[in-house]
Amino acid sequence: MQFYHHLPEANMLSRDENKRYSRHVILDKVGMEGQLKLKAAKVLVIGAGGLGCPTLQYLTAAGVGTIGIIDFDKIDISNLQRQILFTPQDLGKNKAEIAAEHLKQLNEHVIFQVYPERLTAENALELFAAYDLVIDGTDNFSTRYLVNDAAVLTNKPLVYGSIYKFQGQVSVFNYENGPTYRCVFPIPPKAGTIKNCSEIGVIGVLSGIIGTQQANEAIKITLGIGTTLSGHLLIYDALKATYMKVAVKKSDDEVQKTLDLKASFKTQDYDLFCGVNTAEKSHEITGEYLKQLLNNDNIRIVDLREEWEEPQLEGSNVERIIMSELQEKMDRFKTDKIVVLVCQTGTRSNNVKQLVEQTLQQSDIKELKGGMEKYGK
Amino acid sequence: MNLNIKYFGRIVEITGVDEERLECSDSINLAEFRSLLLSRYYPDLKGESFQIAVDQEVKSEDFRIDKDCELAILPPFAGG
Repeated sequence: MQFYHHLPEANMLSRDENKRYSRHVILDKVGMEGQLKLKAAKVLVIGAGGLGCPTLQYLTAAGVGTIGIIDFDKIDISNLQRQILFTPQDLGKNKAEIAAEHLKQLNEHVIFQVYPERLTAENALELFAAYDLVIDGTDNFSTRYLVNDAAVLTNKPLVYGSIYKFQGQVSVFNYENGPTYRCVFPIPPKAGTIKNCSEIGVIGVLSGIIGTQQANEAIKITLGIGTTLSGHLLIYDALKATYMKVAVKKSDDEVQKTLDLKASFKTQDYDLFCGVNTAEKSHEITGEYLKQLLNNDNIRIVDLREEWEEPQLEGSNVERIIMSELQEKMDRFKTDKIVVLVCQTGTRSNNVKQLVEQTLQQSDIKELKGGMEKYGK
Repeated sequence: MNLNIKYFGRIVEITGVDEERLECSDSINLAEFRSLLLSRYYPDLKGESFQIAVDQEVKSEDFRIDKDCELAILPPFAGG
C-alpha cells in the first residue's frame, strides 16, 4: 500500500521529502534516522538579521521540522547588503514575518512559528520552553545576556554567533554541562562605547560565514554527531582568512548566579546590566540582581551604611558614602554610570534617591529593594 | 620572556595594532598582566571587558605566565 505517502507523519518522510533529503539520507552519519531527528526538531532563531537569515535558510533547507523566528524589527534597505533572504519589495515589513514567507517557498515541509515582537524577560522563558534548541542572532549585549539566562533557566542548548567588522565568534553554550555565555563573558563591555552594525559597519559576507556555522552547530547537536563548539570559542578573521579556536571553561559561580534569578527573572532589567539606563523602568533592584551588578564598571553602587553594618557588600564598583558625607560627596552622583543606592532596610536609600534627584535634577537613580537585610536571603 | 599578543574586535581600535610582541622580565599572573597593559600601554582599555587566552586557552586571573607564550585579548562582539 502506498496510501500513507499522502499522510506524512512526524516519524516518517513523504515521497517528496525522501527525494529532497536524499543527499542527507545517504550520509552514514545522518541516514533516515538522522533526517527524522531533524524533522522532529524544534529550533528557535532569535533575530532574523545578518546571522539569523543564513542560519534560517540552511535549517529550512535541511528539513528542521519546526522553526521559530522572533524579530520585532523592520527590513531596511541597508540590511540588503548582508541579509540576502530579503528583497527590495520587503522594505518596511517585519523581518520575522517576511523571513517565514520566503522560507516557506524554499521548503513547504517546515512549520514556521512567527513572533513579530521583541524578546523580553517577560516572554522569553515561555517561548524557549517550546523549543529544543535556541540560536542567538541578536545584535546587542542586553539581549545576548537575556538569551543566555533564559536558555540556562529553561535548560536549552544555545548556539552563539556574533560579528564585528571583519571578525566573528561562534560557540555552543549550556550544552552537556559546558560553559554558558556568562562563563566566557561575565561582565558586559563599557556602555556608551558600544555601537551596532549601523554605526561601525560590517562586511556583508561575514554574516553568511558565521550564520552558517551556527546552523552547522545546531544540526550537529540535533543529530548527535561530530564534536560541537561547546567548551570552545571559535574566532574567525575574514581579512586574514584565519580561525582561532580557544578553550573556555564553565564557571559554576556564574551558572549559579543565573539560576538564582529564576524567581525574579521576569522583572530583570538587562539594559541596566549593560549600562543602558531607562528611566521608565522600575527604580528598584532585587538582591539577586545586585549580585550580578557587582564589579560591573557600568554601574556605581553606593553603600550608604556605616562601616559596622552587616552584611558587608564587596565589589570593585562599590563605594561607601555615609549619610553625614552626603553633601560634600554629591559629585559622586554626577556620573555617566548608573547609580545604585544600597542601605540596610531601604529607608535611607529612598530618602537619598529623592534628595539627589532633586539636587541634581535627574530621575534615574536605582535602589536596592528592601535593603541589605534581605540581601542573600 | 616574550609575549606575543593578539588583539581582537574593538580592542584593536584602542591599541591601534592587532598583534605585537612585549617583553617581560619576571613571571606575572594575568591580573598583573591586565593592569600592566592598562597602566603602561593602553589606559583607554579601562572599563573594556575582555578575556585573556594563553596559548589558545582562556585562563583565570590568577594564572601565572612564566614562559614565552601567545596571549589573545578577546572582547565579546555584539553584532548580528
